[in-house]
Amino acid sequence: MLFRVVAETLSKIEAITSRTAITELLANLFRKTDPEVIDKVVYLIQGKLWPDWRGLPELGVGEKLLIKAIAKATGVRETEVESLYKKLGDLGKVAEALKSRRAGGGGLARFLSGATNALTVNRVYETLKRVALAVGEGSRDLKISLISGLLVDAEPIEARYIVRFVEGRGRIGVGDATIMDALAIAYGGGTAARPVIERAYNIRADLGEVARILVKEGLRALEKLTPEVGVPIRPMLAERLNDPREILAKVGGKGMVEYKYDGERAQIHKKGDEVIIYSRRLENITHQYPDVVEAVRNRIKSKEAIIEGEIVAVDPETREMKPFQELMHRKRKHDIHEAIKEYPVTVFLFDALYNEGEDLTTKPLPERRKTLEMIVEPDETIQLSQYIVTDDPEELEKFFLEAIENGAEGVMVKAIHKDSIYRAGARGWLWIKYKRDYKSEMIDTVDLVVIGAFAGRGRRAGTYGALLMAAYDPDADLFRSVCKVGSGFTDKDLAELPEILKPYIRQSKPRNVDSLMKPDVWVEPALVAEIIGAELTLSPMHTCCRDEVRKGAGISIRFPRFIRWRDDKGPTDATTTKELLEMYKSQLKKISE
Amino acid sequence: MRITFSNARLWRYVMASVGKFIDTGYILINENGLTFKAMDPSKTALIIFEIPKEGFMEFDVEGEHKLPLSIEDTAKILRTAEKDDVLSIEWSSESITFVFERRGVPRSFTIPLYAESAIEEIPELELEIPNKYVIYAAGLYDAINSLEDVSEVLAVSGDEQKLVLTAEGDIATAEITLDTERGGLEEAQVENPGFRALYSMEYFSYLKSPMKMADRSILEVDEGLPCRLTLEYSVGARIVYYVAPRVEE
Repeated sequence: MLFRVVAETLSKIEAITSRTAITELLANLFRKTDPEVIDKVVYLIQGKLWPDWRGLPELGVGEKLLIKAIAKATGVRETEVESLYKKLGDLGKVAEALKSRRAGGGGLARFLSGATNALTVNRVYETLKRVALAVGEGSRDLKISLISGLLVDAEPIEARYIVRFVEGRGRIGVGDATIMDALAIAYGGGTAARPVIERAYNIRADLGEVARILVKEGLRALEKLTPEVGVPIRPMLAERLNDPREILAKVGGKGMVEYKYDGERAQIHKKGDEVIIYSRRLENITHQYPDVVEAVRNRIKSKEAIIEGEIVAVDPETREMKPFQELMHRKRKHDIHEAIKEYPVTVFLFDALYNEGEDLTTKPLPERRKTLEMIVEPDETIQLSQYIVTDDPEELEKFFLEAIENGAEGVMVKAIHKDSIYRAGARGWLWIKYKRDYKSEMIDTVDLVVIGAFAGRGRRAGTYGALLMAAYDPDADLFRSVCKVGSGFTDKDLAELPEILKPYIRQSKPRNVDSLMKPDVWVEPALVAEIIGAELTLSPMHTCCRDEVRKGAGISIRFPRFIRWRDDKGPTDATTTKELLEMYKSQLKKISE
Repeated sequence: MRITFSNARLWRYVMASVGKFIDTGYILINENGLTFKAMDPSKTALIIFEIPKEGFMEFDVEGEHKLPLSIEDTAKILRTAEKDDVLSIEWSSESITFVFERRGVPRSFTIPLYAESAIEEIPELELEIPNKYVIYAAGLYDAINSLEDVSEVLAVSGDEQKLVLTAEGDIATAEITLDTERGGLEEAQVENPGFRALYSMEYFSYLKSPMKMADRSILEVDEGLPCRLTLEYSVGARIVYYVAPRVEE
């Protein structure tokens, strides 16, 4: 199939704006397309060589290199290409103009016996693929040579689109939706086939491949398409609401309420020992999480599975959740093994889409969750998401506040009725996210009093792992709990904790302490520490200013960190509950998204 | 089947030079000798490296064999070739083995061959070029070395006595004249005196190392035609190199 056919269609599309007309032009192009190259034609129209998730290199040809290639192919100096570019503002048009001026092109082609020059889709695609895959020493010259080789044999109109494609301006305003419409018209018998194509694309995020199956095997084959391990599924998306009552009504009165973790959504594919992790945008992020890969290998019992979860940064000592930003350290390419130690993660799994040959996307959520629970053996790195099932808005609200205090962003409320299937690629009311509208940023430190301590685990075994902290309420002469702090301690701080706390340890709750949370040991209010956090938040677990902002909730600190002991302060000199309430109110800001 | 060539370094420089701008090529071996052919993807240059049967120390070949290979990989292997290394080549339908031997110690490297269908056939190029200059040993190398940084274009002109190589850049113009009187030219056969041919400089820069090693260079040029550069080596080996003309005024 000649590339000229594609170039001419793109040129016609460029001149019109009506989506119906564009779809018709594309459908005509697809009808004319040789089935052997339908996938390549689809990719070229998408402006890419392959789906992004394949993680293959991009063309890697900048403007300068492209100018060199055009100069080489048309036999003019680079300065001439540059000056024409200044005038036309589009390198594609520059190449087209130069090719029109110099019919026949440069190179040895016209002196060679039996050389055929017409560009086929296959040659254009395969050559661009070689350009992308050329790496290392000498690859720059090779890339120029390959592109220039195409331009030598290109007709002017073909040159325009080859150059634009290389420049990354290949997209001409034709979205995936229009391509799917055109495929439905050309090969599905009309727009009625569109949902089948869309579903196929949602469970196999590769439009070229979907087109190939449709053209070569027919619509029936697409209808029967199931997920394939290694090929990402477009993630199911949630709507957003902020009223627990309305949320429950939307999901059918009763739903699964799950922590909405503040991390990176991960679709994990496992086939034997091979594990691939895709991001929400279907990028291959496997290299960032070798620890998750290892855990999946060891802790997912199935040979073949596609599961979903949220990867969350956790404190290396306490395994408490840390903010999303901490995951940025995993983006760096070097020293990933160092980053694993410094910035460990836990993946909280929440769904199973495919297991041992069975497509679970068409099953209701409770069934998928059951499968997930059957195939996972949780450990430190792999856990199941925390959830409750409820029809009570108050219980939902309480769980929501607890989730936030524990470092989550809010909750996801999911339908659990018989139609609660996994709707790949779709946003709908089967899943509803409930996040905060406001947050109260913490810009200053507070001085809190130790009222309890929790035994340490792992490296902290033998000492304490976290302290329960309180603010002072002078009106009631009570120390009311605010947060549990486990971060910010140096090794020396931790080693000294048992000695420091020893004189104040009590077997039962001191009479001047007000706390719903029960630590491993109670501590007589005496020691004051300076604490900072990300924000002040509402919590059902703490008693500071309870019921004053919201019924059933007190004020707490999200992501608290120990800074230092305040030996200069007595417990009654600590930050008061009233001061915390003022801080909460004065820093309250609407979260804009 | 096996062939052995006394100068592994010549192979090293040829492959390293070609690898700068061409990624694949093929070796043809038959009872007459060996030919390596490669054309750059922009079809601006074509290189043919030939060694007749007599140029080999050992030549055990029956029938004709086409060995399509990655020039980058071959160049990497040949980079280990040292002075005094003898090079032997053995092959099967799937792979090619390069064996270097010095002081009785063989070092052998095997790489897979491409499928024949994966590499485009390079058509023949038969050209009558009216102007021919025979240049002494490293004369062309010296000229390109001086001119390459001045301009991206090499202009070639001349008559029966001299060959003029010019580079006209934005800030400078450089000109080198090789003539028969002062000994820069060994011989000139010119049918179209006063011609002016233009070529991309980089294609001459790529071949600098093989130019430097050549015993003599023959440059055939004319306006609007590809140039043919023949580099001759001892034992009958030679490179025939075509570069397409630039079409600017």
